[in-house]
Amino acid sequence: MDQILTSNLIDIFAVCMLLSSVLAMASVRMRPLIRLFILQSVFLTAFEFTVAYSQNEPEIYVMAAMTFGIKVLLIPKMLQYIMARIKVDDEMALSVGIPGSMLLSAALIIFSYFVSEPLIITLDTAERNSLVLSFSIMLIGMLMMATRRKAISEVVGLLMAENGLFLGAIALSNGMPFIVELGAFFDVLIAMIIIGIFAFRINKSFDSVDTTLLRRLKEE
Amino acid sequence: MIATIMVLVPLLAGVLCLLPLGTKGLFRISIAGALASLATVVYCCISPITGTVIDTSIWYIDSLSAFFLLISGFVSFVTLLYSKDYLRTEWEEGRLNAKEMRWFYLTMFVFVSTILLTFAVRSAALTWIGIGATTLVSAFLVGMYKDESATEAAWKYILLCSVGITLALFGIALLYAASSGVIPGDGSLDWPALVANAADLNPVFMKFAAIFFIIGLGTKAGLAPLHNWLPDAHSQAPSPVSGMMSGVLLNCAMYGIMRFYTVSEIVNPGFASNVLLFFGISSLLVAAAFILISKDFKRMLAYSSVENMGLIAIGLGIGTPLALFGAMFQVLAHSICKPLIFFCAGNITQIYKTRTMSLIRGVTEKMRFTGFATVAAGLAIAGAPPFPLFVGELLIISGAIGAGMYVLAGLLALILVFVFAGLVLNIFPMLSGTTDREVSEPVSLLRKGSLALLIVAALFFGLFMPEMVRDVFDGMVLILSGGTI
Repeated sequence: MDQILTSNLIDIFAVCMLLSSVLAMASVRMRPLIRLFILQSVFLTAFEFTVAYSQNEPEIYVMAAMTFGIKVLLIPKMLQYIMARIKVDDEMALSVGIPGSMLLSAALIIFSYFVSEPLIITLDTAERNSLVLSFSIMLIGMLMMATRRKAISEVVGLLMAENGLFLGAIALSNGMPFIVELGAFFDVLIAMIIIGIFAFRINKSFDSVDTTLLRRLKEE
Repeated sequence: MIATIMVLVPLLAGVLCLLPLGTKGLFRISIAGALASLATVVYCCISPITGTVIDTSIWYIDSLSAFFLLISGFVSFVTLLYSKDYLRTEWEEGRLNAKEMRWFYLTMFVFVSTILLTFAVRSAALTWIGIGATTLVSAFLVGMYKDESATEAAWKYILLCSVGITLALFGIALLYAASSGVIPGDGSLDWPALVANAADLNPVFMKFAAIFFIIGLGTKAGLAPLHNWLPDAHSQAPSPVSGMMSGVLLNCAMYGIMRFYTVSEIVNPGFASNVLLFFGISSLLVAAAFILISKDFKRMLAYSSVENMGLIAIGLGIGTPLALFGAMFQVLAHSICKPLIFFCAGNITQIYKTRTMSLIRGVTEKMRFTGFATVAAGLAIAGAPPFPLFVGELLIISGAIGAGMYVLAGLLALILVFVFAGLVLNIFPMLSGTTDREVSEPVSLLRKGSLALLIVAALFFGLFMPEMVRDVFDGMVLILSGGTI
């Protein structure tokens, strides 16, 4: 593949990741939400693969394989297993409606363009556009954590923010030292297992994984 | 080599706790493990604390690391001593079963091991991995009692801190992007190499890295407005764990911030310090407000941790040698005094079976030793002389005056008065008066011993500053201002 094609592909995959995030914000059901997360992870894998190919970096190939294994196959399977076992009701509980979520996401995207301006102009890699997108994906992930009340949707928000992080890390410097990436993947995986354990526990003690019930601890 | 052993000893002790030896055997192993762990930490840190840096394979222990390691070693030792009788009481009253106790000790020892790892490594990446691991392990300790509130606290803790950890990782990615062209090879994330080559790092990248890193680790350190998980986690965890989290876990994130701050201040003087000043002041304001209105004993103490972390951040933010000295002294003072008051709170809440302060009265009358210790601990965390927090606060305020930041100094003094009033007004009524409840002092030498050990340590550092200790602090101030020994 020549230079222009790969750099176009890189941009397309990164934009598709952002689109999956925005679609996830518009989703009102859990199962499609998890499918959108899978889709986003597939785009991340494709992005990593293209970067690895164009830079000829074997470490990024490994990273792409790990993303595929952990974020496309393993974690979604775990989430679906949890959903099936604890019989989560498919409806999502939103504290901000869909139009509001869309407007907020748009505002966050504009905000990321605004703040990352000084950083972008110093970069000369082919992936520099991806950096802005990674900022947006991280912010939208956090917005999802803040405005969705089901435990599983909070987790998907966190995972999507993490996808944004990996996108940004590659855009910045063609990936971090291998030990950091391994550590990061390991961290995500263990965190997911622990989160799964606690989701079961929430289900057991509250009969539901609606985290509005998880708002009892506060000052009177 | 010795550093590897230091990290492995608690891990081994944790594995030994899985041996099916019955509860008595479990307690014996825990005490032996605590002793062994303390001994290796002290042995490992003797030469670094006086200035000889250990610099082998992945380890790097200078006096800053050694200081944090010694604090962690000491606090985890005392915590494990205190845990023994605390857990036995919980077990006898049926709140924990034998399996859960075994699990408690296993996670506790792994927790200690990850904490020691965080402080002893050379690379920013490994520091990050250590901090991430402490979160994952301690989530189980927070959710120890599997009831609704503990589950809620653990859930909030792990989700919020995971976001923090993710942001900090992005900070590390930016740091790597700034340094990979400057420092060749595998060493581009090593703290000492970063400090040595700081002048050549890309300043724009470092600014972004500073924002992400400080916000990310600030979440873990409990700096307001990112502190939401902290009061829940500290109040719902078993009291020994609360003491450990407050006295050691928050330090882990603070240590990461300090290392980063050192590099960032050379590249962009005044940038990281302003961010820290902002978080510090907002932490103080939030903590003061919530301490005044708190009704739950342990939540109030959690807000006092937010206050102290805020003070440390402000000390770093001022950045003069005097203020840095104050910040480091505050770290030491907080790590001794906070477990002390949490253990007192553990005695009281365990016997009274409530954390609501208005329901607790007459502690001094019924529980003489705990009452006495709580008087000392209450004065200590409120920041009264002769306890070390007073000295730390005074040093930070004089640092602010010395740097010409008079408004900040005035604000600090004012907020600290409110904090003092809030803590004293809430703690001392519990001690006086009478109660109709059937309460009595827990008969346990280890409980009394661990409280006494902390009181003695607090009084020592509040009253004396031997030449040797001052040299250690001066060495750390030098490291924080970007110098090398």
